[in-house]
Amino acid sequence: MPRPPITMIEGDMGCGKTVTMTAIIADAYLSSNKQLKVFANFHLYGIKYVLADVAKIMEYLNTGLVENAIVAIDEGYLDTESRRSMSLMNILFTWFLQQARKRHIDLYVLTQDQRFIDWRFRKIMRVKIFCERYDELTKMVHLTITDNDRKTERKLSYYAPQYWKYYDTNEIPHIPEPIIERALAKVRGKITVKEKVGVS
Amino acid sequence: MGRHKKEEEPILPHSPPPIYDDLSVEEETREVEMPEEDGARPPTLTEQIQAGSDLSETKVAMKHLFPENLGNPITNKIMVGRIAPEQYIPMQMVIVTDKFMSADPKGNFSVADAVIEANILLGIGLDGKGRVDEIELVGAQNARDEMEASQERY
Repeated sequence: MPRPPITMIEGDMGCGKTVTMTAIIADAYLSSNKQLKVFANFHLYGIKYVLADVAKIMEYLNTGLVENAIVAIDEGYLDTESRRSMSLMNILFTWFLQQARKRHIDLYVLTQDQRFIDWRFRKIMRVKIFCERYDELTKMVHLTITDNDRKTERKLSYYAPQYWKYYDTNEIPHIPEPIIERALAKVRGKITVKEKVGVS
Repeated sequence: MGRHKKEEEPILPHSPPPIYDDLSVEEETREVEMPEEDGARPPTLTEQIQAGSDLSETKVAMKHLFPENLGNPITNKIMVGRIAPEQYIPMQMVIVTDKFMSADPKGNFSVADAVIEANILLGIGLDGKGRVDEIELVGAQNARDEMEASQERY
């Protein structure tokens, strides 16, 4: 079965989203005899990959590098936040999404709730993998996979520990510094204004 | 003139184009504590996807066969119930009469619409043997999938 070009992986905290994304990458990578190009914004182990957030991938857009590849974006709200849908980066990213098929890219974006990320992505995505739960006893992750093209929904589960070695579940996603700086600048700016007019 | 202009780094510094092998890294797989295993290799996620059951197709077919909302709470009950062939005509009469009696006396009433809707509902109950069959089918399939998945592990 060919991999769908654009997939969203959704689920609550601790339900197995990142392991599911890692599982897809690991399976695809190993089945290609380690020839598949992989871009991910989180660390992978035992898989040859390029560590790249969305901004980095955008930087490579016209270089021919990000083609015939699998692109995995963990915590998609960091780069494609729905509240920032008018930002240039969001617009650029959705252009990139629309070229996914022509670039032969399989793109996976992970989020806790699909409403957290840009609606255009939701519109374009073909498959949604919903992580129902992770069973601590059996170590199984239970999924519901909805295919928008085939109008099908299927439930399945898989054994998670086989993929633990490929990623670190405790890795904290990197929050872009420019956003932190801008947020802090705004807060500090307000304080300065208050101080100027003598408000305690 | 004479102003010192700071040399800025180009925003797209890719000349010549970047090469994947130069940028990529491959770290050793992590040392993780694995649960005790019985030796059999568990199926991968991709294998599970490719070997998925027909449950999804069954559910999609059921969705088309059994519309969820026909505008009246009684309609769903009729679809769930099993309609015996000899009850078909009397039930149709009851449904159409009920619809007529509960209609707005000042509004229009289409007998054809009422008869067609009753036919649809009763047809589901008669031919499809109701949603009870669907629930049994999906439930059995679900239970089998869960059992197979856990047996593959233990």
